[in-house]
Amino acid sequence: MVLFHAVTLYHVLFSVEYKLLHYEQDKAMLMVPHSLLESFPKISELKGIFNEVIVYHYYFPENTVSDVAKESKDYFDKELKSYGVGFDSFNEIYVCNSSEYIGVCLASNNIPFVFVEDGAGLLGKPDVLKLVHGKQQNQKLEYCTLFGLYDASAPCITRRIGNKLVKSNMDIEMEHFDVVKSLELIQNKYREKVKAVFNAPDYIEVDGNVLFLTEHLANQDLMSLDEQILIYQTTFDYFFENQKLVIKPHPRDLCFYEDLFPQYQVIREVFPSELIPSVLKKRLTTIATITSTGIDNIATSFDKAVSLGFRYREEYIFTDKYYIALKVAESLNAIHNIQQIGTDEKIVDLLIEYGGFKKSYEPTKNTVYLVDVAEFVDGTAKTIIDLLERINDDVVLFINTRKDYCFYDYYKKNIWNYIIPIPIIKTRIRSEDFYSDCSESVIYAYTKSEKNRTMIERFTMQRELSNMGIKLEVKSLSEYEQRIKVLEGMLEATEKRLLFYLDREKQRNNKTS
Amino acid sequence: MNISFADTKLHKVFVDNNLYIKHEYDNYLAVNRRNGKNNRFKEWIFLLRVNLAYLILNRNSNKEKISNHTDKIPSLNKPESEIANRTPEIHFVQNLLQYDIISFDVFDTLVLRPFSKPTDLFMVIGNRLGIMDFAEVRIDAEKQAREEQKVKSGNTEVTIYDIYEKVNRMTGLDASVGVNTELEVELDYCFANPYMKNVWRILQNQNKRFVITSDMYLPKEMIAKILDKCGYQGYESIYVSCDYHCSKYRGGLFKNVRNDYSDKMIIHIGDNYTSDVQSAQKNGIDAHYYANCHSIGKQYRPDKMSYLIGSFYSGIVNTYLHNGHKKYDPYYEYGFIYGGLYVVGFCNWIHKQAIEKGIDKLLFIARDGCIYQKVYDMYFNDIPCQYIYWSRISNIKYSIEKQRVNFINNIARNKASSVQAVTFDDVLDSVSLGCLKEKLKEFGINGGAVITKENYKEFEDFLISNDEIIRQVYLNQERFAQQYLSDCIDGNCKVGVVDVGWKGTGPLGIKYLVEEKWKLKTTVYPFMAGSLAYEVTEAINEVQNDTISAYMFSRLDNADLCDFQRYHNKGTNCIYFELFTQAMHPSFAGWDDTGNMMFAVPEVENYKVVKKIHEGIMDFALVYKQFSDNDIYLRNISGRDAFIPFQMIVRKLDYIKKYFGDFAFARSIAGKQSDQSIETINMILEKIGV
Repeated sequence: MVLFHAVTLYHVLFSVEYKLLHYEQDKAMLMVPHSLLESFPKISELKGIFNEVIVYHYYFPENTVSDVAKESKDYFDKELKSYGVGFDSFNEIYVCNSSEYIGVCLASNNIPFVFVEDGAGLLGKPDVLKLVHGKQQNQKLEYCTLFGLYDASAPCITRRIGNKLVKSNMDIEMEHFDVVKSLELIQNKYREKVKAVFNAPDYIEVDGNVLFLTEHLANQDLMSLDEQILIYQTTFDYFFENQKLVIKPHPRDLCFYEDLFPQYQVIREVFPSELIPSVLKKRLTTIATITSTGIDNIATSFDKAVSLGFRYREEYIFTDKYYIALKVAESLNAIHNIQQIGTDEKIVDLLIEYGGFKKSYEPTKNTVYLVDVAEFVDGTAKTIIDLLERINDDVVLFINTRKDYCFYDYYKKNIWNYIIPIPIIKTRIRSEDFYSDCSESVIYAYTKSEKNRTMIERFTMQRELSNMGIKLEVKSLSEYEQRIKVLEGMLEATEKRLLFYLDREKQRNNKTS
Repeated sequence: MNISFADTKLHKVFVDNNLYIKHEYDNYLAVNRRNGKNNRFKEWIFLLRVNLAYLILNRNSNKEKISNHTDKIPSLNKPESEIANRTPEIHFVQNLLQYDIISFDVFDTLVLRPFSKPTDLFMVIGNRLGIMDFAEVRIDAEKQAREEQKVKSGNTEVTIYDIYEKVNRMTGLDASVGVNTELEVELDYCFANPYMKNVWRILQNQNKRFVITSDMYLPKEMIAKILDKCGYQGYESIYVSCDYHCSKYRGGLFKNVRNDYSDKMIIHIGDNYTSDVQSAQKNGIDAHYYANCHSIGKQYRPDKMSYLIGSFYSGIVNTYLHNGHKKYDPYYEYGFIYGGLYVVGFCNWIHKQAIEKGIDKLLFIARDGCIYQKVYDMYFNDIPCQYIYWSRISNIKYSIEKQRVNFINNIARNKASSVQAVTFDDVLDSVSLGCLKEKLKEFGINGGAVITKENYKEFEDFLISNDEIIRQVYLNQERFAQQYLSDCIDGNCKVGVVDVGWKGTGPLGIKYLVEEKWKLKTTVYPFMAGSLAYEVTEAINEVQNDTISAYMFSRLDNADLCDFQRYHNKGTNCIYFELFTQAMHPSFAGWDDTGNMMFAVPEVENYKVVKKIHEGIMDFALVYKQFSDNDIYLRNISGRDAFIPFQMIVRKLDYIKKYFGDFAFARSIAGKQSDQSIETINMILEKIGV
């Protein structure tokens, strides 16, 4: 007999498919937490495919590592006993989302099991789950790291299963399983049953060209609801301004997108995103997301797949700075000739592709360097200062997201003579559903070329961002205004550097004491 | 069979017969049961005490506020906005998804009002109607209408029209004018609870169905208008007690809801534990208790403020911090709760003074003026204003001929009692008098020695005997000061100069320079938040002869507050008060010999905190402005009222020590340039034994 453990709809889908394709004639049980069944009661109808659907009361207790093996075993033995089974009743145990209490139980008791990745490609990105758990569940983080449940290194793991088509930086030996392709392989009668269990409609009429998958970021406490709304407002304004979006919320995402984005279609039916290709009546050209792993399973069904990435989740509030920097580069006819140091390359590339930037017919030979040093360190500063001293006609644009002022050097104050501040003014144009910060932000340009300096000084722009409800503006500064802005920059740079040294001093003192 | 107390005759006698008793008792139950304290014996004791106060000692609701003065303390364990411990909206709704019908209470649940009690709105209605003592009349009219109704029909449910008939009888006011004015005021002040608004929107997009259930004298058309104004649309029905002649409290209203949706799963959400939770549950409706924002915040709001402003201030703070939508850090809260009212009040007072005196331009002195100017700008645009760099040290330098005592005290006596050890050379360098270092030897002073209480008198003698040199040094720099201030004054005849306090040396120094020394054709009017000096006779003449105008206190007005500021906490209160008005730049130190502006050591480690405090103050100012836009008289905040929240927070210093202990603070001028370490508040407190 085989046991499948699932926590999300994606896991259930995997379990159903894997069971039908590999254990069609075998006895099998599906084990799910009661919270999943509560949200999706039709899962109990899978009894036709599984011999039993075991429902357990999910929890992740606070106990010490020394006790966890016994306590977790006692807990699951009791839960399984009510169904007349125990872990030893199963020839194989497939655990989707091993970084749960069941994973801890099996690993700490050295019970062999098959590791199934939590989401497509996640086996190759163990840090992602660590990041999620680190924000809200320190105990979980500690146990799962200790027992090798993020990178599937626990000795009792017999096999690993995941989607090999998803790019990964890690070379992990695993069995390939594509949930979307597998759906086509199972018998038609089961396919229809699966769709029915997941409430997936036969088809959905869509009117748009970009399918956007959301995530339940606030629900996972990764950010507040206000921040979740703002990240989507920002994304839609900067990357999909003239696109017709079709929003598919994550099954657990309850955000009110219909109110926030009335111009877009929202698919409210709750079903795993892996079923999307089989239910959309019209083929959409692009699929996009911030970090949903669901995109990796179905990307091949679209011409383009856009994933903004985990860094964007932290830095989306600086999209205006990136955008304005690129507008400046565009005005210098240099959008084709950009080099990046420390910036979020994904944001830059996607903005260039989707942000409506024009490539010039008369491209300049000058390079525009986009620089954003996330955290000031002496070595990085030296690299930047060397670059500034080396270049002549090229332009450096400092995004300065962390206000590190990496171009500041106490002994090289002449650098400020070539600095041009570019203040970004944001004005609120809507009272409702407004979540942005309207305080002024500044990026800094550096060039020794008089021609480029003049062009940058004369650069102006204005744009309304309808989803965010703000007007974005860059105005040309008078000589006096520019001098004041440079002075403000110098003051803030000095303060930041002082603060950096003070913090470092404090850390040193703490270490020595 | 279990009979609950609410069903008994005793309950009728001791609770239901008096609205104020009922209100207090419900609040008591709500707060205690929310905290898991469910002691029936204590509840009865409380009830007897309230009955004694209202029925025998003849207390009414307003008097309670005055007589029941206690020294409340702020939330010390965590920021006040975390006290309610509400789950974020996105988690809160998870428990509601299983229901078909969600019933919402209106007031203090879907809709909030910026007054600590609903009846306090009657004061504003009275002001609009121009009827003296209207609040009492309106309360009495409702009581009469309910009593009459009870005799007529056995229930106490009345409409607003019934109430204004009684008002008409008592005052002659046309009932329809009264009704319309009350509705107008409700519409002006009711605002959507941001927490519940999100809950509503989430559930609406999950295709949940809503009903509104309220015990209220406003008929459903008026409730609908209020809900519409607050952005709540898409509900199916409004069940309001005055229309149905039955209430949530007695259960009749819930019976109607239950009957209309007999086959549905229903949950009701409301802020009154008895009416919204117990009564709903008794009638087969699940309930969720949303603790009343005012009940949560009440324990942290000061008691001694004037009634209307006190209620408005408390209402704003309670509804802002305790609705559950956002949590704030203690620095933001320090600005919002304890500093916002004073800055708003001060700015409005400045404007009033400026109009009365015909001021052409206002100059806000660094660094305290930074936040003042921002808030002033938010409220007014008729008199131009400017933030100017000025400071005690620059003032003393350029008016040294008038400030010799101050100068010597600041750089000799004060340094001797400083937490930080400072040498004679350090002090001279810091005030641009490095040229005198060589001369110290002639007086037998070792420049590298630390100034102490034992040797500072010799240093004083040294400074006095070098008076001419000192004057000459500062005279060279003074022309830059003159040019700068002339540019700022910009030819205006009457200029107001704004500073936090205390002796007024900053604005008085500017007044002296502009009017007497430079003889510019400008009159300077110093405006200060408070006038205070080390000795009771100091600066007394300037206050007495109206040279200085002070908002909150001086030796002439609110002298008790002056004493509190001066003597409580061993004279350190000004430090905590000035936390509100720090700026994110170093203190201005004057000009050098070539005209460059000089600044002291930047306390960069403070700037994050300062930014948060400013955000809190700015947000309070914005919210206060929005709510008072239709009744500007609410901006007449007395200096006493403005000071009371601060008085509360420093009555005991636990809050300050906990959150601001590491705040770098240079109490006196002339920091030690060679070391650049600065005193922290905890260091200062430790030294003086507070």
